[in-house]
Amino acid sequence: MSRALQSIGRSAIGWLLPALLLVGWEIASRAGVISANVLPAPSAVGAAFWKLLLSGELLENIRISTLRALSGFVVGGAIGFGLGLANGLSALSRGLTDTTIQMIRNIPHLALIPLVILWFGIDEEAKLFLVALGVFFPIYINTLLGIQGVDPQLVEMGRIYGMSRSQLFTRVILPGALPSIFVGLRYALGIMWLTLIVAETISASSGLGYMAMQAREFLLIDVVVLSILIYALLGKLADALARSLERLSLQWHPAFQNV
Amino acid sequence: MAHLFLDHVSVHYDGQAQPAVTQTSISVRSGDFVVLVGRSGCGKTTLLNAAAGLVPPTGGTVTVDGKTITAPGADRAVVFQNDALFPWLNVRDNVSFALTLRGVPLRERDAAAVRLLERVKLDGIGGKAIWELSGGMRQRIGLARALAAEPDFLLMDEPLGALDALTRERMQTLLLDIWAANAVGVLMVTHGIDEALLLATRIVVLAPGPGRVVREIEAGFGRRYAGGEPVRSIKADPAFNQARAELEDSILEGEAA
Repeated sequence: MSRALQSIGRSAIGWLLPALLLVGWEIASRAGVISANVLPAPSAVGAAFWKLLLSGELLENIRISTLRALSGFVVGGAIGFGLGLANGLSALSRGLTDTTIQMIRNIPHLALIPLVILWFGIDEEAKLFLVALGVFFPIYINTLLGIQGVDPQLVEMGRIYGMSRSQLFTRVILPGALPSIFVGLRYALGIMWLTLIVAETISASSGLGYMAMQAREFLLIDVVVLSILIYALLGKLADALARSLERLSLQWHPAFQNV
Repeated sequence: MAHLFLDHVSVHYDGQAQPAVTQTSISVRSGDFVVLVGRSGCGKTTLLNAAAGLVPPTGGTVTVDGKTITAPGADRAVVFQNDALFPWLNVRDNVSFALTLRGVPLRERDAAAVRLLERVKLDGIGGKAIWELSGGMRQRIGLARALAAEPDFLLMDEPLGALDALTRERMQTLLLDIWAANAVGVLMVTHGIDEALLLATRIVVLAPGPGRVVREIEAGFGRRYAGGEPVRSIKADPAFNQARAELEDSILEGEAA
């Protein structure tokens, strides 16, 4: 019981600072230190939240953005994971593709926005493409590193036990590479939101980024601030999900013990 | 009675000026405890890996009961200096790993793990994670894992090399206990001269440049331990000291030659 309370207390402590910031911000706004044209009070943002929630607009935009983010993530993540595996396991595949991938990696993927708009217009494909591209690299690199970093002696042990190639992969290489793959996953989730928001801000007719840009046109600064806060929350949510998944599958790892 | 035989084995690694071992013959039968000694670079580990089937000989053959082996097999279990346990499995699952691969049902596997852990004197820690354990415990778990497949031969590459002196002494007697109780043939590489004398039924002295056998010495101190004599009294025996001097001389001779 006290352990459960302790763990709640530990996770609550992280929310202390954001809460204090909100309170300070509200007080400063009410005292007139911060002008409502520069930064509306949290209560005003809250009111905007309530209004958009009731109209259904907010949830619809969150739904659209989340769907876009996840589909881009699935596509880019799957390709990155697949290529990371292939290049980690086969020197031929690595020799063939790694140079190309490293060259493309050094182009900031957001720099492709003008080109992507020319290719896809402002349709869904544009967002999907950009998110997939952004997510691809962290997953690819960390999967590759993870596989290359598996203790060779463990692989040798697997051979001594007469494991087939597929057994070696599922029982030794994949579990050994998993910590690194999760690092890539968490990093990719961050890139996923970042890319989507930028893409939506520049070219979209729905979604959170679009909502913020529309609000800017009509000088609805409370909605702009609300959108930004929602990005922060969604990002935190995605990270928390990845972390709990990580904790669940890496219980054997000393770094993930609740000591 | 199984017989592992390295018959005039040579191993020449690609890109090396001279072979790692040349024309080396070593015979291990069930109940033998053969220890390879010699200074670094004399090919001890290469020979052990050839016996395991991890390194193909470039000359000669490795046979088990007359059949040439080309790959690792369940009849020859290997223990490395680094325990090479799977950190993502707990102690129980590491120990019963060979059985998992054979598709043995969970309940039998767990029962086997309990028995194996008793044999290495680590009862009741099956649920622990690998990182929670000391080096000595890990090495014992590696030993239990090797025994799980009920091998005919135990191949050990400096299994006690990374342990502190006290743990090392306790592990030596544990190795003797396991060897005596299981009628396995042991082939072990070590740097410890006392360790070689205490454990071996036969000591093979190797010399480098290229690696080859310079001498084989019969020893019986391990059998005396298995017969009930305490280690301390064995080591106090003048015969033990004399054998040590003789062994040291042969290692030095190998160096001079």
